[in-house]
Amino acid sequence: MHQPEEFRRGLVAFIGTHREELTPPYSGHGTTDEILAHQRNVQRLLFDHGWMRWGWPAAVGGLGGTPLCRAVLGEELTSRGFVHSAAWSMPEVLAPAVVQFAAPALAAEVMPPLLRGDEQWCQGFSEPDAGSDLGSLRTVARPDGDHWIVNGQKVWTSWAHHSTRCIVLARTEKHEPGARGISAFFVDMDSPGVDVRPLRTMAGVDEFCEMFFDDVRVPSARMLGERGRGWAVTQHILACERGAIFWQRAGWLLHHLGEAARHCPPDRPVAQYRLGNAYADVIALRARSRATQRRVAAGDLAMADSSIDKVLIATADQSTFDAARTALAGVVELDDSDLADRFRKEWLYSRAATIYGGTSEIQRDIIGFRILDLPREA
Amino acid sequence: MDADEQQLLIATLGDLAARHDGDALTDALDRFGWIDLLRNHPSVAVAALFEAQGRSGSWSSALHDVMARQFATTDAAGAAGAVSMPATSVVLPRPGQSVAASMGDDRRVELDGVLLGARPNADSFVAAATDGDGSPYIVRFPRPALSLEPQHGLDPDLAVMRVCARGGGEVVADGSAAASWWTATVAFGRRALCHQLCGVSEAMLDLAHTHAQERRQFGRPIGSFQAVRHRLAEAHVALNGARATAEMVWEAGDEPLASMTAKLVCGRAAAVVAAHAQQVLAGVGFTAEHPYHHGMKRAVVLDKILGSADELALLVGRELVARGDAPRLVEL
Repeated sequence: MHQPEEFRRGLVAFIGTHREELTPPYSGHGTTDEILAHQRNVQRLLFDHGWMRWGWPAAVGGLGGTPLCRAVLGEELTSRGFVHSAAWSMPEVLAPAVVQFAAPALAAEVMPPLLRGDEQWCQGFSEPDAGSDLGSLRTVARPDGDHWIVNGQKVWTSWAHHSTRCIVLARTEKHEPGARGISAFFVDMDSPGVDVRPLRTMAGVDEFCEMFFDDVRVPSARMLGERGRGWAVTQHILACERGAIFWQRAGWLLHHLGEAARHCPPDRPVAQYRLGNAYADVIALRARSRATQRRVAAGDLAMADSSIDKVLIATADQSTFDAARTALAGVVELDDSDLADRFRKEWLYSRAATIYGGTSEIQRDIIGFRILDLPREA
Repeated sequence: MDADEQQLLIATLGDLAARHDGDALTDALDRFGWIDLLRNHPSVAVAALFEAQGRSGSWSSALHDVMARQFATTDAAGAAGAVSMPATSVVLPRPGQSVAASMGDDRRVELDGVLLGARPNADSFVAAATDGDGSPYIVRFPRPALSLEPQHGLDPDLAVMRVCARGGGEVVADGSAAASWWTATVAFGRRALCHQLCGVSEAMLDLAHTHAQERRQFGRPIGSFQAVRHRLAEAHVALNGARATAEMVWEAGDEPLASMTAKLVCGRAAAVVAAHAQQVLAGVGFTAEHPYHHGMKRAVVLDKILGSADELALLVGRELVARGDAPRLVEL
């Protein structure tokens, strides 16, 4: 059961007999509450039948097998519109780092509720003055016996207002500049001193938040990885983010391209031309991501190389929803139907594809310096 | 073929394509056993040779062998004895056309197509034709029926011929057999051209990359400026997406949408690389003595063969609309 194709065949058969429970109860884009509530139900169902556990080690409640199973699971769900791609990605962003860097007892305690959908986690990285320049972050943690005291501010934290835990980057070595003095912590969101304020995206969705940490006490056992080596945790998270998550995102894009094609009149060559080009972008992304994932599954996490995948997915994301907007001929701009609501919010969300998870400019710098070995400035 | 054998093959074909060009490369490939290699390991052989031809700026008759192989391996074609390798060349449609010939009401076939690096000793030329109703045929012409005229065009180093005939052809297949032969043959040709476009793109990017490290302005290498660095990074992204697609398409089976999309991806990537490389190379890239323009011209011509990126974008989009679906092509 650990080979991706065998896994996929079994999963597709399962989906065929559980279509009703997997289909969202809402007909438009869904509110954040609706999307996350449905996802919890889907995760519980898939966990109880084992599908959610393949590709994770037994020590954290998994059933073993290749991590490629997780990519296949995400793809089969997003490509049918059963779950929302952005929300589905969050466990996949954070859990691999917990499995890799948390103390074994902690990982064994917190992973099953995450996979079962009982918990939502979030990622406390960016700060008002530390976006692309993440290494300059100013949230600090100072030791206090067997605890750390965290103070600072985070921003753009997706689903923080629905989350029970957060992976927080904080500076623990104040004399070490940049990335070297940072540690990673696994913080309970109900700790005293954590304050969350939702922000509204331009799509009208309350997806991300500001977070404030005011003398938040975190047990030392909640540090992920070694003290001052939080950057390694960050790199691991970003590398994982570019494996299974990109694959399920590509499934989500094909799902929307197919739907846009169904709504496209046959006599609109302008829309067909754009759909063809967007499809080519998604296929190029899939081709590249497929090769990357096989390398990741073989244990080869090449961080710089995955910047290529990141630029490809941002391009494919935006061209998909641009083409869909053309094919839907005025629906996104003028209509108030469920179809319009979904494509409008997705099109608006896609504007951020070249920004979130490391901007396309940062990716091009990484490719330029680390792959093409171009000289540094000055 | 194991990984070591594959590396050896890539190195050997790369060396042949770098040292020989045109008919001399065709001869060298024949001596090497290219036809047997193509029969036994098509994906490895085509990827290795066409990448190498792209990088070196050389050409051979291999595109005919790749496309004729597809005819020859079809059962019906074998039974009809229609195609023998390597004596058969495939007449390509002129850019913008889907077939090279048309059949009149009197069943006479008029041919007006393109030959790209035909074998000098080829004695059999096959082309796809349609009649007034759009029904497909495969037609074989003996050499005496053809008039051949060199076309120098934008890339005179590439041996392009315009090939015409007024009658004199023999219909070797029609109906669904003809349609499926031609679809499969075009798909194989497109796969080969994808690899060649990637090779050409890599050569152009290498030239720009070297220049960005050596050329100094304002007291530093121009590659240290973000504006230049980002152009090279974009070109690198386009090339890597294209190459992954060219490799993946071999696993997509008979799905014609796969090779159409791959040629679209690779043709577009070559245009992206060419534009960024030209701007980074600036003045020197505009001279006849710098090798950049050979790659740029080759990329532009190859893009036009068997469907340009622009034409294919429209065809692929039309296909998605007709199907009401955007298929995955391959699974993880």
